[in-house]
Amino acid sequence: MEKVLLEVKNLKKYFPVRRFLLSKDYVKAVDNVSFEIYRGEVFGVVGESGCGKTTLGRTILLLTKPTAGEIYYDGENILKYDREKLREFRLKAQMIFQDPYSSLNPRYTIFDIIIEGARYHGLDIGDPEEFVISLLKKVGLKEEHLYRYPHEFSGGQKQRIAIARALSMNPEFIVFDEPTSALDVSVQASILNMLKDLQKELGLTGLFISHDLAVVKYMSQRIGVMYVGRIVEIGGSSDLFKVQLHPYTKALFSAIPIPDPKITRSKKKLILKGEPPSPIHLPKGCRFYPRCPYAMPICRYKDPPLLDVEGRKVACWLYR
Amino acid sequence: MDVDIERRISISKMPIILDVSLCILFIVTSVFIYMRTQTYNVLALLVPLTVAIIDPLFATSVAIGSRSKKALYAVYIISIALFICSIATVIYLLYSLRSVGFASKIINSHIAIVYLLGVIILAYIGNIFIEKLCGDLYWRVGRIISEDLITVIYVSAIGLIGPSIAFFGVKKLDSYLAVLTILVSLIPVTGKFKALLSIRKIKEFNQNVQSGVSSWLSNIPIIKHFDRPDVWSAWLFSHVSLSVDVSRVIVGRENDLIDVIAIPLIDTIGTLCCLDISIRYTDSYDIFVAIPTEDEMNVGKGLTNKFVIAKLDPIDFSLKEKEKKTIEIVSELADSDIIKGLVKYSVDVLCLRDSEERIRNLANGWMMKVVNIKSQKIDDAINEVIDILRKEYVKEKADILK
Repeated sequence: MEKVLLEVKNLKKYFPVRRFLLSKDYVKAVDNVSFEIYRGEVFGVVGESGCGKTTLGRTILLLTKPTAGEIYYDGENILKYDREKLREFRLKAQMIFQDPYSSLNPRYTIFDIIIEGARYHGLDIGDPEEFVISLLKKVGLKEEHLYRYPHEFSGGQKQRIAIARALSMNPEFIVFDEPTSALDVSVQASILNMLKDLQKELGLTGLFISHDLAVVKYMSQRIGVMYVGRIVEIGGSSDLFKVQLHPYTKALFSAIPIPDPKITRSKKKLILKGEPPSPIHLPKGCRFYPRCPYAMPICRYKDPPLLDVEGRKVACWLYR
Repeated sequence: MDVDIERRISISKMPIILDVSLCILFIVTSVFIYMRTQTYNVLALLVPLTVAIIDPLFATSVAIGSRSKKALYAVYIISIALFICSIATVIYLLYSLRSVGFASKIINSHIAIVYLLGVIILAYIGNIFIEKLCGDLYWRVGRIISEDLITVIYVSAIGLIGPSIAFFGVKKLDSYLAVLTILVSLIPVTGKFKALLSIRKIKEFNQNVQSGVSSWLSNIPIIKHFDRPDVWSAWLFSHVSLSVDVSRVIVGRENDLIDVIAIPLIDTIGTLCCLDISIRYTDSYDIFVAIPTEDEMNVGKGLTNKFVIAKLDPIDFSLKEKEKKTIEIVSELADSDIIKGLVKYSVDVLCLRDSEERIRNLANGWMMKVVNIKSQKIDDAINEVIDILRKEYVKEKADILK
């Protein structure tokens, strides 16, 4: 069995909803999430908009402080790290953000943007220019781009710069927060191919967040499906695309469009009723039960834990 | 012979006690601090504090399960007395202010400031604790009884302005600002007045709760019959007593049934402080057994949409009659449609041959008893399930009768 690099246990991230300065309600963005990522693996997280995917990624990197839970990196609880250890962790773990337009400082040249982190952490990089040029080449950019400003680049090129910046720290673990969702399809493909090559070449471990199932399938070995702050199913990428166990995963995957009218006509689509519940006042029991076609009385009062089923994990009473 | 299981589920009394204790503590200290500081901004706290006791008082009377009319009237009388005290405080404050021509008498303003800050902090912590102690299930009740402490915080915050200005030398404004504090303190009083008038609509309120409870009970397939729920309400808080009749196949899963009934009810009705559930095992209703069929003669493998539904005698499990049924599949999820169809036919026992675990769990989740059978012929299957049920329940009943 491969070695676990990152393990998340019962992670919670609640945001207070303030009312006249007094906060009594909380948006449960991430609620009791547990999973592990093996070294060299890319773990995908899918789910509809607003289900807490980005918050999960940010919380794992401690960009926002978790409300509760444990995060183990290489066997050590990062929540107990002191300042020095946390600095080291921030070198090893990087994030690539969704929007390349706002993640780059418009006042800095590309050289400054990429070198900033390495300088801050005092990394031994040799000749800075050569270092940055080598990174630019790695992400498919040219030497001549070195002293240009972000506004002179296209969206795809900006995302490449953001990737180069993340790679400048020589990270082990990267959170890819929908890195291609702001790009058009042709650029998406080239960025994804580049990411996949880099991941293999550098042996990176990653958490790949996306709402695009095809993209996650392409990038990840295992996938976790998220619904209103909780992971409801975890399975191997190809297994999950063949058979879905959780009713929400079934509905999510049945919504994938197939570019063949014959198959589309014959394919049964599982249309869910209603809207996801408010993350402030979640229903008692399973949070998916108001929309679940399999909802049973037990679902109304007992929240299902993540159960082991045929080598996968599912949070559903159908598999108790 | 009917066998009863009774269970009472009610809100913890601790948060209510904490709420009342905090209010009484603040009332006593406010009077004491007023005597030391002579600022009406502190005395104005009595207005929201006296009415803040009303909600917990009603909640307590319901949570202890008391159904005495005398006790309820006593609660109403105490509440009216508290309300009158609150109004009297307002009148006293305004009268005193007018009689002294709004002249400020404030002394030791620093004491008033520290005290009001202390009230804000303690009331806030108390509010959080009360909600936590009420728990997730009773969060609405927790909100209602702790909401008045929030008003105390606002009144204290407004009341803090006068003594603070006085602390820096401008004493004149203290009495004028006290008027503002009194006005803010009146906010919860109007709400309580409406609450006290609600006694006139208590019957309608009870009927609403009753219909809510009945509609939930009628959604639980395993319940053969239920008596009209008995609702007792005081102000917003309700105490519901209900008794349901179930067949003996539920034996061993009573706790699940109680959770199925109680948790969604408390969650939906919100102000339900006490729930008495009585489960009666009854032999008055036939037991329905569903066997999936492949054709006219053979038992189907797994779940099919064609069934033989056998009606069994509830006492000796002998076959009374059998009937063929076909369940219409209306959605993409056939298994879900079939189980829901069986629920509509009030099936108690589902017989399955070579079925996957998921289907068993689905049927179990709907509180059906799932029996594994080996027989391939329908008639043999019926006999097999009768034998299984006799072995399991006739002996159990004999034990109970002993």
